[in-house]
Amino acid sequence: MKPVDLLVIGAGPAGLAAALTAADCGLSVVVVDENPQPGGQIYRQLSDNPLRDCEAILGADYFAGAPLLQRFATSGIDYLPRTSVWQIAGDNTAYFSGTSSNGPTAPLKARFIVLATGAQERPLPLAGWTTPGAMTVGAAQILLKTAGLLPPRDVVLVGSGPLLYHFAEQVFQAGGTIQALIDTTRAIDKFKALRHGPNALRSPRLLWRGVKLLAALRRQRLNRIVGASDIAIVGESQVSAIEFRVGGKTHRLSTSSVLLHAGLIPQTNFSSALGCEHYWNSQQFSWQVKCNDWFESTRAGLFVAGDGGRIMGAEAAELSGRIAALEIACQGEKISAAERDAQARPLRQAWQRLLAARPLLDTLYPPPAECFSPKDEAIVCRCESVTASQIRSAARLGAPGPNQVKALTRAGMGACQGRMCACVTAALVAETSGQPIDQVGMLRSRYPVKPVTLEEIAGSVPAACGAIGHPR
Amino acid sequence: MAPVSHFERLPCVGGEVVTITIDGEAHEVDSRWTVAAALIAHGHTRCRCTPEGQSRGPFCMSGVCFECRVDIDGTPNRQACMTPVAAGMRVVLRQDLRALA
Repeated sequence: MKPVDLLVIGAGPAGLAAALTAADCGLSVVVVDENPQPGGQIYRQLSDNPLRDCEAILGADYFAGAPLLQRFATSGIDYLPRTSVWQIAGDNTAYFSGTSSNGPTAPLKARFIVLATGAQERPLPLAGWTTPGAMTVGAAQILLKTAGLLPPRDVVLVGSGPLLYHFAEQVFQAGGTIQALIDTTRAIDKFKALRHGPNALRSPRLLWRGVKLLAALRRQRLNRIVGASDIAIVGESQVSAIEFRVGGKTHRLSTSSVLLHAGLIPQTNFSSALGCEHYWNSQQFSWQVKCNDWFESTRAGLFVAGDGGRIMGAEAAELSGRIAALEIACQGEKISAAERDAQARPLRQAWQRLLAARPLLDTLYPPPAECFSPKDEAIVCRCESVTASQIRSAARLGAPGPNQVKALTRAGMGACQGRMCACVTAALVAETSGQPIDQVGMLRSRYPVKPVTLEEIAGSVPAACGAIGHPR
Repeated sequence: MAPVSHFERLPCVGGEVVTITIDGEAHEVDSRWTVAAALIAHGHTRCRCTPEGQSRGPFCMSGVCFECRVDIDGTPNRQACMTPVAAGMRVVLRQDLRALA
């Protein structure tokens, strides 16, 4: 394929906004995304939602994405759905795998790249969380949004974060029931969050939405359990119950479905494989890629916009994509620095207003303790079935970080490439060695960052076939 | 026998109905669904088995965790949550331990 000015990886709010702004400035743009339709996780299936009562069930925040998707649909920007990028070489050539109808996609060289790969849910490694029937809250929300499937009536929600309550409200709107919501946040978190209250008032719309949501759930008589500890999911080949302790007493609820949530973390596999610098954000308890004010990483020409850089929410993600694209247009000599600054100023102000409520949310809904210190018997690396106890043993043997734990235990070596365990493993090493987590370091990702077949690798280098004597 | 997790189908509009098979059994599903949605709608919370013999099933539904790997039309280890259904698709779950070839 002919080289392009900009390759955008991810078609959520940040990626689409970056692509549209860059195209408006006159840059040639290609957008690549794993899903069949644009919108990312937040606006998934928006343009063709199957739910008859989708507006009542999914709410206004979901449909806020419609104008953006509409603009993208009519923009004429090159778009490769159902396609993954598995490697970006040193010369900015991207290699693809996917199942598009026109056969394999040839490698593509881009002058600039925007990584807009979004967030993932923070893994919550409770005892028994690998049992079939246990899923994430985000997973159940995707089933509701894209397939019109409502969780079983005996469902139990567990964890921390606004999504727990947002999803509970959607379930009620759809006519479903929730057996219990086990909130792992403690009274002290509310107290600690108080000091972030005044600053959060700069984002009144977000706060008002939260207040309305909690009031609605009180009216629905949501069975909310607070102060639970020692939570364990029970069942052999299917969830049958959940156990927990409250006030020194053990409780057990029979259920076929447990949904877990512990907030969101940026997906850092790609930026890590690319060799970008990262740092530990102690406010959001996650590794994040180091970026300047224009969302450019420490690798020149590589930008990270949206929740893939830091958790900011859909509206702010869209703004970050636009700000990044303005800098790209400036570096690409399509607009002057003065034009860039003038256009970016109002976007940046709006972005900062939206971010003002984040410290309050981050402090009000901290991750459950199990995210950093799971029970010994809990599986941490789901792919390779490595328990917390095995990782603690490796740390005691002297493994200084997750990369060495991987060599000793296989944690992080499986199909998900550490997406589910890397953060927990680093926290366990920190706990065992008594070092701060930022000194323990993060798991270094390797190419290919997405699974790829040998056929796809071979197909992406046609010149090599002749060179190694393959029959043409 | 462990209880089966039953997700409920809400009233839907549009889309087409296509037939896929799951372990040889025919199921009618919405053409906009992923394979993982089809599995869950039909009570299949288990997709595969680890080498240690533990059952695993769809967990994240967004391509992150790789727990929902199944055989699709003869290709092993496809992510069910990232693969849209198609008419005549054959899905096979790996309940047994994989034999080394």
